[in-house]
Amino acid sequence: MERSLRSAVEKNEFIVTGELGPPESASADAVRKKACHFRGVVDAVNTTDNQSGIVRMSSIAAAKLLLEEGLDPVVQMTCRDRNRIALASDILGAAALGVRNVLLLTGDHMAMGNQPDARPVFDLDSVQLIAAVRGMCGGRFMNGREIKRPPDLLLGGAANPFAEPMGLRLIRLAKKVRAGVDFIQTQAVFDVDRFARWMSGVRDLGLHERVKIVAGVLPVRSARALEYMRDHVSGMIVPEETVRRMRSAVDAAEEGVRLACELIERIREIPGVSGIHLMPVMWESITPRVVEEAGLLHRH
Amino acid sequence: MSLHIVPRFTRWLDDFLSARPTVERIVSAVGLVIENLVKVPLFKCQRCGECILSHTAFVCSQRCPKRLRNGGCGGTRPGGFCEVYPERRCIWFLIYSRARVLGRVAMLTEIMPGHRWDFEKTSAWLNVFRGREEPPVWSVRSVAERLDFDVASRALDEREP
Repeated sequence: MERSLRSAVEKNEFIVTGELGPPESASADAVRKKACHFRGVVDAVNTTDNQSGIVRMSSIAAAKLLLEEGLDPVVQMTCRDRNRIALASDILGAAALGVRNVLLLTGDHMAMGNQPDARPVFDLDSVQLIAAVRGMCGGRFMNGREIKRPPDLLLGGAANPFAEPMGLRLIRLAKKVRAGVDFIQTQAVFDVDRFARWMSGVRDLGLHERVKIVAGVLPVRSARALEYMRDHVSGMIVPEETVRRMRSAVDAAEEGVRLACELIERIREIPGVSGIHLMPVMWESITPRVVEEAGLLHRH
Repeated sequence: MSLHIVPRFTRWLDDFLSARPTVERIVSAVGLVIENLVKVPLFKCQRCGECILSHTAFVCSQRCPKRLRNGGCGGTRPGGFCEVYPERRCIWFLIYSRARVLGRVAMLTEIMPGHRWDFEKTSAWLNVFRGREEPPVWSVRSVAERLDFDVASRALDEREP
């Protein structure tokens, strides 16, 4: 394994993570094909867990395919579809397959997806799931029962710096830190000023010293893709100004790369930011270009 | 007054009811009726049987479509509206607003453990009397060590344009 999230965290290096959406099919090749965009470019790759409530290949299965390709996967796990028994079981399974990082989320509601008739589970919420998995890594199940060989995982959580009210966001982040996360990946940043305000709150509480704050950046290919994401992806807040900029661009894809690089440059200047999480939805192939043009390729 | 000063009574009640399933069913049903009469109209209580109203500024968190006890979720829409019902305010937005008015923001920093779903549709009051769950926390001072969060979150909100 060339790069890994754990080594970047331990060596205090600037973290760069990518994101891979597993296919809506049983095709392992589809995962392998996307995997080649990340090798030697990012520290780790998130595999999403049926994002937006649309059925896709299991995030753990996709992660196993990435491991075979020599990449370090971050398995995303949501509370939407599994109760505490299934979640704990999948944590053990993922760790047994060689997964070393998980991102623990509450998950989008199925009302956002294409099967709103499914039963919502939400047995635990993300804070409780983080506490449960932290306990498992320490050798105990939620009910206190001992685990002979506990999983050894780096735990991540998510934060949305743009949801209102901001004070509540900070409280929730602090809860996740106290529950035991090692890193935080944020929702895609478009409004850097607002993100900087949130970061100043994070610094006031000293949370950036206890966990790695990795800022989300979402390169988009067209104004339409951006508008779709604003309207259909939960928690995505896109300023009108950004939409206008993408709409008026002559070459939208080029503008998308330029925009992403500008965002990365401005985000890196904010004290307390430890990394960038690149999540070009349905455009994984742009990852290496953005990493290179943002000057993140030779960061070590 | 803390309910902890009557541990002997709670233990006796729990043993008494646990040994008598029929009595337990009747007491539980009566308890639930009384509790519902008060809590449903006042708080739109969802009868989760494990009441955390005192931690959530007396707004029932279980009205959240995801039943979050440590909310709000990251899907909140601009202006603090619900991900699932865009026309409704996020319950946790309401909880936070009320907590600020009541000076109970620090209470929100406490991590609520996983819900005991086997308590669903049982009387939370009876569960407290039986010692099966924590009694409500009235005083914010009991979480005084976390009051810095209160200060910080207020400061952060004031930084909003």
